[in-house]
Amino acid sequence: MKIFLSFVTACLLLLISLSTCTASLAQFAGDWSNVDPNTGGITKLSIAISGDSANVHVWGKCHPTDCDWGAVAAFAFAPDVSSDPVSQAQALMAIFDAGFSETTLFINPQGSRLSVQSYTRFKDSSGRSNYASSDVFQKSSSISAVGMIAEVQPLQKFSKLEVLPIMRKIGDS
Amino acid sequence: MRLLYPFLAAVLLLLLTATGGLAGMAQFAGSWTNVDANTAGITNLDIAVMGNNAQVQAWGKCHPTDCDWGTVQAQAFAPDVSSDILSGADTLIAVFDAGFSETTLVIKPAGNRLKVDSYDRFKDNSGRSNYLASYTFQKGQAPGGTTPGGSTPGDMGPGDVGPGGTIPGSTPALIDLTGVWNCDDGGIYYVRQLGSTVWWYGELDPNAPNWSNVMRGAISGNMINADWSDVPKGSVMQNGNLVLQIASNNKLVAISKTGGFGGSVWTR
Repeated sequence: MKIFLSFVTACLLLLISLSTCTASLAQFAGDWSNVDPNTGGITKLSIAISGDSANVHVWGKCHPTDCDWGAVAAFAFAPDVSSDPVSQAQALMAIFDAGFSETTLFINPQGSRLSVQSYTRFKDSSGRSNYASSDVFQKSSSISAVGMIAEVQPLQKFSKLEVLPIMRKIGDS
Repeated sequence: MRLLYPFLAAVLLLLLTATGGLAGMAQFAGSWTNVDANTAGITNLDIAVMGNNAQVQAWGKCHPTDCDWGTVQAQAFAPDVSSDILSGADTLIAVFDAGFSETTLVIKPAGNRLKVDSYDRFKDNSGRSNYLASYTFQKGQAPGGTTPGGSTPGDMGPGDVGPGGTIPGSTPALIDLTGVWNCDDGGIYYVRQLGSTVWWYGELDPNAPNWSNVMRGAISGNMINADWSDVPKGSVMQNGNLVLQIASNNKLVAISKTGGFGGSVWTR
């Protein structure tokens, strides 16, 4: 019974720590690496904080070096309309517009890590499906990869994409 | 130890169902009520799904009746770029722009409920902080809705949209109007719905129609705003506008009509 109760307590603490976390804006600052080294999506983030402003710089998986998505000003969200975002920000929203697509990142602290929900919407009528992905990032010492500015999406996913509309047309006929 | 494993399995199952797996567009459809009856934020959602398209209508807490934020087109997201949106969508994002603020709703299934994260961003330099609120919704209609002109917009959301609010739950959740319809003007109407656009060809008689017409309309909530015109299969040559209410998936009712349109009720 003691084991049972201990386990329940641990689960509850884990759920609480995962689901709700109030953070300061400073907790987002720094260079962050995807905990999944084999990710086909976002590999690195660099978040700069200045007062109540945040700037998010993103790199996506590309070959031979990661693609630089550039940096955008992010919106910080507090728990309440009267909260101080500098001391209580709990989420950042950053929107990257690549012309043919738009990716919105929702960034939340998760303990000493960052949880990033990414929503990519295609605007080019290519027939590709909008898609969501979720990644976890940990603090890294430096951002070393600097690549050319290229299409925002990982190459691996694009290679699948280009085939799809043709397949659908064949299927329709 | 024998207790531990079943409990662990139960917790894992609970987590899996709570966090949601693959969900098709249909799982979002319907009228949803905030499980927190005392919420000061979003009280109700109506989500209408038509193929890959979804429209979200939201109501925020207002006094004496909730404020109608209006209806917006939502973006649907699948787990992967090659996934089928219709069967695999697991997130909707709906953005409500009230001018002074913009609210982005991230809507995800959580078992048989919806989890909604609401990101409110102020654009009016009022000094108010952008804020994030999370809500859980369950299927069903809240008692009471807005009445025309009866709401006082608050500061917590996009605010009242237009003078005429509607009752949550009045929008048909799953609309597919494509089919052959009969009308009380004696005609037969061949209707095609493509997303939020509706087309029809109607005629009194297939062989020698006195009149025949075409229509193109746009669905907004449970209304269709349309233009119609007679075409020269028949001899009557008139045209005008129609506002139709989608009373159900099998019934349309004309709310207003111009150009001498005769029909008022369509059924199938």
